[in-house]
Amino acid sequence: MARASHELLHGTLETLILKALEDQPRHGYGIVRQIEEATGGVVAVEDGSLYPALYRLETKGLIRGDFGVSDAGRRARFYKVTPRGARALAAQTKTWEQFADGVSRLLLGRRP
Amino acid sequence: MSDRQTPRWAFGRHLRSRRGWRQAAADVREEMRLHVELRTRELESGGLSKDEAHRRAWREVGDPARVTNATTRLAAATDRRDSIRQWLDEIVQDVRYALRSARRSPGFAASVRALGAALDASLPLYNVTTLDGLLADNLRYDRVGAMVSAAFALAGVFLAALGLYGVLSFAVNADRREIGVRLALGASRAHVARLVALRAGRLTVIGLLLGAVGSWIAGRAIAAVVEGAVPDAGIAVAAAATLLVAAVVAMLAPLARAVRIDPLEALRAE
Repeated sequence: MARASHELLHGTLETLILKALEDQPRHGYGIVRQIEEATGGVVAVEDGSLYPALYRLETKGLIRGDFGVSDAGRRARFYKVTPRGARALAAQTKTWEQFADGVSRLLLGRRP
Repeated sequence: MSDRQTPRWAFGRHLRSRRGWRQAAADVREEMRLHVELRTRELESGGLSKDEAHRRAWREVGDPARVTNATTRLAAATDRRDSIRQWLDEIVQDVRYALRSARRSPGFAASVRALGAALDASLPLYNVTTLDGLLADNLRYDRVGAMVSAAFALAGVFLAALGLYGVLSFAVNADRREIGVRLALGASRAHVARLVALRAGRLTVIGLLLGAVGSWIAGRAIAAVVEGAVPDAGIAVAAAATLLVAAVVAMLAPLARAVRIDPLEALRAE
């Protein structure tokens, strides 16, 4: 399975988490599953980077985690995107779009 | 600033937030345990052995100590923004720590940080210290205990000297009548002085011998319990010399008094 390298992930992990939480609140494991599924297994969250990232996001007020009960009846912290987080996601998505577009043009010789 | 609605400037916030960090760390650990459990089950169904799945899951989620440290430090950073008092506390602490580390080995923390940054810029590095520094920090309370013991020992020597003075003064005063009789019968002042000095000296020598035996036994007893506490002859000699000086000083005043005793007065007092 081809997996994106850690370095590539580092800057974008927070954005990916916001995206993974866009449709519904999830706990940590659910976020990882969502990211892997949505990227077709290309992007993997590993090396203990998830929880520090969650805390960074919560500290910035972009997500909010509250303990609740999971489907399996377990106590788990579910994260949801705050209104500020939603705005940040929109802004970051736009930035990424421009960046990816530029890099694609350079690397693949695509014309707009 | 955040959606968490933490009250700013609240009284006692300092302590409450400290408890808050511990709670936050416990929460993160619980969160990670659940994550690992779910991931292990998934890896197992993918064909890994239970052990292997468990190990791999933990590797992916990360070292809980490191993660909780990183996360609670972040929580602390947030609280710092909320509370100026805590902020000042930490600055003082950091400065003190920096000075201490710098004094111990200048440039050490900086070079470790540079090394860490070269390996992984996102790796949080804190509490950089030398092994010596770590040892000194760990031994701090033991050292305070040792200093208290030493203070008590010094007080003990002082009290012993005081007691010695009292006993000798008493002994010489008790001999007033005998000295008066001797003087009345024609004894010289030098004779009286020698008499008093000999009696005091005998008491002192007996005391020192008893003390030497006692301290040797006590030293052995302490050495049996406290590792590295070897009975020190130098210290014993110093203590004995101190007591000897105290004895001489204690002797001088009664001696001077004894020599000046008026035989008539001493006998009349009977």
